[in-house]
Amino acid sequence: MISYSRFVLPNGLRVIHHFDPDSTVVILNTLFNVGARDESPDKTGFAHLFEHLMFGGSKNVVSYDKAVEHAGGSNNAFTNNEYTNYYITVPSENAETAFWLESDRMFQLNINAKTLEVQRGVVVEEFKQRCHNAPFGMLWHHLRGLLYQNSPYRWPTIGEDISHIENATLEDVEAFYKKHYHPANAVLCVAGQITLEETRVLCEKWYADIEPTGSVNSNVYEQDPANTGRRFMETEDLSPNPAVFLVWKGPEFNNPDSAALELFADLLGGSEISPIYTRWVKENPVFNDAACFYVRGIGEGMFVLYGVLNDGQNHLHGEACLLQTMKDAMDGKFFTERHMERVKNKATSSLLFEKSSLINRAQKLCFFENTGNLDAIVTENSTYRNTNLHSMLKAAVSTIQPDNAAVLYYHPKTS
Amino acid sequence: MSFRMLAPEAKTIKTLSFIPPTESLLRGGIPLAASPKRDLGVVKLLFYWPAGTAAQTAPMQARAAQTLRLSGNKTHSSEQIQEGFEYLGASANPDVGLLSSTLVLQTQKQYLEEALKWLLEQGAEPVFPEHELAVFKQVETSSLLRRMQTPRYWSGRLCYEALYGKSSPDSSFADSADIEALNREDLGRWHKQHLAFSACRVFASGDFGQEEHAVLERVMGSMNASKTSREEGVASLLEPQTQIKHRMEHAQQVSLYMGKALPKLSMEAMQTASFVNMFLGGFFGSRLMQDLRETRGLTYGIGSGLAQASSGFTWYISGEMNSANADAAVEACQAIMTGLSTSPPTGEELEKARRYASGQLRAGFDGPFSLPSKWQFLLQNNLPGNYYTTYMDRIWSITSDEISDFAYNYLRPDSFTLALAGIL
Repeated sequence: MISYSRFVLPNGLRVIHHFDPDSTVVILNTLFNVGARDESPDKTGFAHLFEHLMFGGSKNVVSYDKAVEHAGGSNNAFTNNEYTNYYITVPSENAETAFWLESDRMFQLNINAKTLEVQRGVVVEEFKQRCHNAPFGMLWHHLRGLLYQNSPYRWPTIGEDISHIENATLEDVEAFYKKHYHPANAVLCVAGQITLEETRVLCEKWYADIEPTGSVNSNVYEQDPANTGRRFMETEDLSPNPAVFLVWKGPEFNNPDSAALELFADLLGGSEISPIYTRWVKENPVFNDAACFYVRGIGEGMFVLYGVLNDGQNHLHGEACLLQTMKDAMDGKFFTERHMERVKNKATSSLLFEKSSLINRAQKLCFFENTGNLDAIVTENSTYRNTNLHSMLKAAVSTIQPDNAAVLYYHPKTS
Repeated sequence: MSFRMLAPEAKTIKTLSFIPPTESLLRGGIPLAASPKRDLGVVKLLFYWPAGTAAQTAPMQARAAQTLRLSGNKTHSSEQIQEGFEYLGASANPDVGLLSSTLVLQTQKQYLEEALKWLLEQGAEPVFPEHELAVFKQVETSSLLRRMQTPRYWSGRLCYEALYGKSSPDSSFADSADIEALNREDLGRWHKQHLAFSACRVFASGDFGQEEHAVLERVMGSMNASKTSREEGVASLLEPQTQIKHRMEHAQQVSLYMGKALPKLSMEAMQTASFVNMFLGGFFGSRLMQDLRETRGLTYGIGSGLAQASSGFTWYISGEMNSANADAAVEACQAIMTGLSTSPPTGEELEKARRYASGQLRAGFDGPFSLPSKWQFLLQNNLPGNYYTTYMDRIWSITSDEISDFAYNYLRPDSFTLALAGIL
């Protein structure tokens, strides 16, 4: 069980403290409530580009990375559709350095033309490396594009088009910073070998004078009408194997159906003993890889089912195989109470192992705070344990309708 | 003056103290090392065998044998075995490196005994069923064909093949035909020769205390440890080639890979190599990252490292970039390699790397599961238990001249093989 304390500074910064007596380090994990879904359709990829710019120094820190390294620490960050997360780990005796660095870039980032030019180049190369140079590299572009029409969930974090990054201006990024990067729109977790009292004193010293420059993200987004009917696209890819992907929208993280769908996906296609894998990879080798998973987003979920076809197999047949097996599962043909116990035991183990890492605990605490229900971190395991066979299948039936899928066919590149 | 202008004092980390694993022998002689107990509710057992791909007689043999050891025996099918683990919320994950094979059992503490018994019963005498091997071949072949579409795969492969020779264990890249040629008899032989549980070492971490030690005694204590011999690799070094190019029509970037075979090094030389590598491309503040990414924006990432080789290490540099930038990147890499001997790090650069390396060394021991991989590294390289504490000392005692000498001896650009793959 994770123990923690929470307090809020007058400027709106929510702080969570988590003490680990066995650790020799202190972690500051800062979550900003801004992700790709907060971008304009003509300026996608900004949240991620901004993540890069956050390492370019701030008003009182000429070089962020040099200062981290000087303190013997390390740092990194990631962005997704819903939030941007930064973390720094330092030896516990240098905890204050982390407060100085993290607060200063929240206080006043040094955004300049040179940094922007360099990081634009870096992100463009990242785009090419991840999306153009890897098999199925454009997968999320295609799936999100199929699944959403107007919602800002329709583009991936890296950006819809590389030109959006190439055309980013200094004014654009300055406005983005002002709007989203301020204490009232952030959650800070201080974790490791540091007491609550030290945390309070250091937060007061380093964060209390930072004014909120924008509003708190309302997290209200344009919703698409419910999807009806099959939506379809086909495209070519570097992969020498053709593939079929099917995807459905699902409920948000705080909805209990979300955990139920995660369990259902694990049973249906989450391991090598799942019906999807045993039927179609092992017994009747239509695919050389097939699986499914549920992406549990704060605002939306996605149920993804896919198979990579073997030579001589066609897409239509592959799609029918996947859908039939899914339908059989939802009709109650596969899973028993033993399956439920199995998948819940897996979930429990997975949570225990996940929480054995200090950085995971710090990130989870920020994540749950950002969902608006921090205390749910304590009952996370119960959410899985309270799911039963009936509620799981009910969640699946209400979310995944076979004739309502967004369908993507990949063909090997021909030219 | 704002208080923000004053950086808090950052203390230097000059000592490394950690509780070493407790080493013992189970009743029958199987070596056990255990990390200090942490109250987590979960346990990891790492089973280690000193045989990896360097000892195999055909590509993929070691990996296939270890991956398929839980895919069926005389009494249970692959599905039944896997279901047994999953029902307990446990998993048994195989891995194979150049010099070792491992299996990591992860389980909740309350199911340790059941999961361990299940592993030993089901993994002791695998029969490598024909249909499971066929699925393995099919999955591996497809995965290989996908990897072959990426420039990174080819730059790395071509560099290793040029360095060590195509048939060397250090460059044993499998082709589809190699995968197809795998057979049950060879896998059975490999398993018998190298992967018996009686020939393993065990490393326990997590919530592992006296009670859990007693579980291991109950389940494994009666096994008589069999003697294992360390597989020593023999490097077949070739003359370095200046440049290998591989054009890929669909690629959007160029992947660069430079490599050099290092012989077995003494402990001190090993520590020096690790530290010199930091300046080259071993961290964000390295010369490669700072010049190619942060100053010029030529690449998303470029780095260097020391990869395990059968008789030492391969020192490599690897990165991807726009084809228009490839020549500039190669020139920059070569200039930086030379620069480490002609303009070795001094003053602020040296201090920064020392501070970073020492902080990271300490952080590397944080957490309940940090020790097994470090223990494995020492075993594989015949290094003593004080390797890490003396490395901390070395970080702070190494001189600029020593870095320069080491770079001069080992980092000359013309001693590295360069492979470029992609849009050329």
